[in-house]
Amino acid sequence: MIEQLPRYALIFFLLVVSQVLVFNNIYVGNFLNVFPYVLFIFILPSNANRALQLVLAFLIGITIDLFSDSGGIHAAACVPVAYIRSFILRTTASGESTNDTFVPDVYYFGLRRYLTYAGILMVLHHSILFFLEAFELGHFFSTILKIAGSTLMTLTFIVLIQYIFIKNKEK
Amino acid sequence: MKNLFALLYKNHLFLLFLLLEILSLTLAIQHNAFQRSTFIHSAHSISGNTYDVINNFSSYMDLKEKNALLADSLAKVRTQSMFSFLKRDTNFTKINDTLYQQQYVFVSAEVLHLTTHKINNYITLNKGSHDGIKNGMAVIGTNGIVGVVNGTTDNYCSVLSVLHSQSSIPCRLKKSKNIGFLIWNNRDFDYRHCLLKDIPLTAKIAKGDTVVTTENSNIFPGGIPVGKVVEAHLADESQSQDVTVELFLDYNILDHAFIIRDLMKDQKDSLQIKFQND
Repeated sequence: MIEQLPRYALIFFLLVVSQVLVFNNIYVGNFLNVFPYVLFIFILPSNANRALQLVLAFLIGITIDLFSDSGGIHAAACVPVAYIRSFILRTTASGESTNDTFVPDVYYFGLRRYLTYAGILMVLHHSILFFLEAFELGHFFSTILKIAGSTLMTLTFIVLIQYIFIKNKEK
Repeated sequence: MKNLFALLYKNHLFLLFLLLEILSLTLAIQHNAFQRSTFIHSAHSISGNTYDVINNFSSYMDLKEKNALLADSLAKVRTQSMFSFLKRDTNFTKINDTLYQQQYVFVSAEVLHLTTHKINNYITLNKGSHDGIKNGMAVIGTNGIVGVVNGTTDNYCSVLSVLHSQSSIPCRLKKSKNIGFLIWNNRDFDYRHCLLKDIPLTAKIAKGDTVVTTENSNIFPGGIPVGKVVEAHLADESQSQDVTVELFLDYNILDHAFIIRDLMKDQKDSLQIKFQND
């Protein structure tokens, strides 16, 4: 993990910049948002120190909060994602030898299993995020709609970003 | 003691998780409850400066529309100023006019960042406490109201927009003079329409009537046009009606705003406090 820190620092920076400058300004139907910055948590290596993962997730969440006037809701959504990620990783990657260290990207998993892995975490992230944003259950159905729509859109963007920017090492 | 440390170490991940989660939830709740008295907001110097730099570039994109808007408002001001009045009476010389005392000072500000698609929307402006901006000051645009200042740093301030679930601004129907509260109906995230609540059933509501701010609000000067009436319907639970108002101001293309300093606010406030204490 240590030798990969500069690489992840760059990913952190690029994802925050693109989220703040581009994706925060994209909203379909005036209420569906995309949050591809979560990719940062998804793509941390499988053997990374779990305490470090939590702190990094908190950091990227609070950075996004700082720029989008949302108090701490992004951080509050990111920390649980980082916490349960290793369980999800273990179950999704159960076919492979789990002792290996790997970077959980779309090439490693293959598209279908990656969508399961990212989908579960994404629904968790968006549920916490949008329910905290609404702050009451009065918006229940519009919030559910928001979660479903935004999850689909963010998933698409996350997969596309990986196909475009990450080279397939297995080829 | 040794066991305690062992237990703590064994569960250190879960404890760290709890710590971080409680920290972020506290920040989120404080943010909602106290209208961002915390330090995580876009008027913060880090994000404020960043948005400043971005705005320098992006403001070139729609210069044409901006110029048209500014020219319009300039024309309006010109028509109202002494410049466009003919002097009919030359018998008097003006020595020191005590009839008029200045009450409001308008501070022009640029919009650095704004949203319209959330339940709670905020706007960041490039004027701060160094320019005399304080919490609770009113902010208006070229053709409508924008919100109330709710956080300042040295060079930036953030504004609680009209499009915020907790925004409630007393407004008046121009013809029937009935007073209601302007509230954003955020269920469908329609940023062009608001609701004017608490209008009595007896009020006659004319379609197309202008909605203006009230004179007795402690924040906004009276008579600022807000929007026009689209329709009225019975409120769900009470003996009053809700009026749908189409806002004059399009928040999505807002780029200049005016912060209003009320020079007599201290006098009004001290009076109110005096009466409250009696």
